[in-house]
Amino acid sequence: MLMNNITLWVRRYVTVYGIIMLCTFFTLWVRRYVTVYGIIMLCTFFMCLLFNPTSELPVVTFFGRIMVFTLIALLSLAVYYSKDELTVKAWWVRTALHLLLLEAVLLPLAHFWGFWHGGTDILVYAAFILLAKALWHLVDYGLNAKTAAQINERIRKNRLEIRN
Amino acid sequence: MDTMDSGGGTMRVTVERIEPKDEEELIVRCYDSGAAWVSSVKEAASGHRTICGWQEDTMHRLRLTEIFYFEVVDDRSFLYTQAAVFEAKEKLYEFERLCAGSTLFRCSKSMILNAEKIDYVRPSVSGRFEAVLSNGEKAVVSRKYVADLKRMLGV
Repeated sequence: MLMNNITLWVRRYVTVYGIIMLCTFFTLWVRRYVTVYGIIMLCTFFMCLLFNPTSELPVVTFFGRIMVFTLIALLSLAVYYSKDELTVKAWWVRTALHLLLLEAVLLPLAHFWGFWHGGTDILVYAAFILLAKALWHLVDYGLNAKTAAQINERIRKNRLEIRN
Repeated sequence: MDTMDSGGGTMRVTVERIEPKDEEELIVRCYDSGAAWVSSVKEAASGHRTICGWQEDTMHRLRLTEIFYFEVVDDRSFLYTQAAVFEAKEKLYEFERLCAGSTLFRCSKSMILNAEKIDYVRPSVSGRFEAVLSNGEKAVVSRKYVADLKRMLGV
């Protein structure tokens, strides 16, 4: 009886623990997905505004395609995976590789879906992918700067408290 | 159980005597786990904990509070203090266990850093953080572990 109770509670504990872990994991990736989606939408909006302002947008299809683009962009982040800590040089190499991978996958797909047609189009589209990637890193840097400011403020307060 | 008022009567200090067979423990009840006095208590509690560091054939006993960071390089462990480097026998996970409850925290896959020795942190382009220590050295804090630092400081 006691053993059964213990087993039951251990199973419940493991289940709740698993759910919390999954929720944390998904929250992180959903946030990243939304960020990348937003960046791609912004880039596409400005691209259309600049180069094809009279085009008609099949909204549902268009949004669906952007969602696929976002998924590919996130999956390609696997390039950064490493068992050991990446050095700054290794990070730059992988960033360049990631950009090449994005261009290699997204450009043909975008062409297939009719997002670009001619010779100049491909250059503009490639530049927008580069811009989107730069924006992603910029957003990331901004968030980290905010976290660093919070930590520094706390360190400063602690020092003042100790001094007083 | 001895109870006394600390200066000004602002905080009650309770000391409970236990049997030698029981494990000694310090429980801090506070509103803000990142307050400076809580860090001081943690530092004092971990201050008596020591670790052996080796310089050539000489063994040195180092207090945890002296250590700036612990790093594993090519499967060898090193302890860094204000101005000296010592080799350690402990593996990363062993050292991590040893410094539990102190101001040392895991900051990357191969390093444990003393939060008390951080002068300031700044973001790095590689998506991580760079911690500048009070002796001028720099250490990388991975994004994965920055939450631990925030929790430790009470951010």
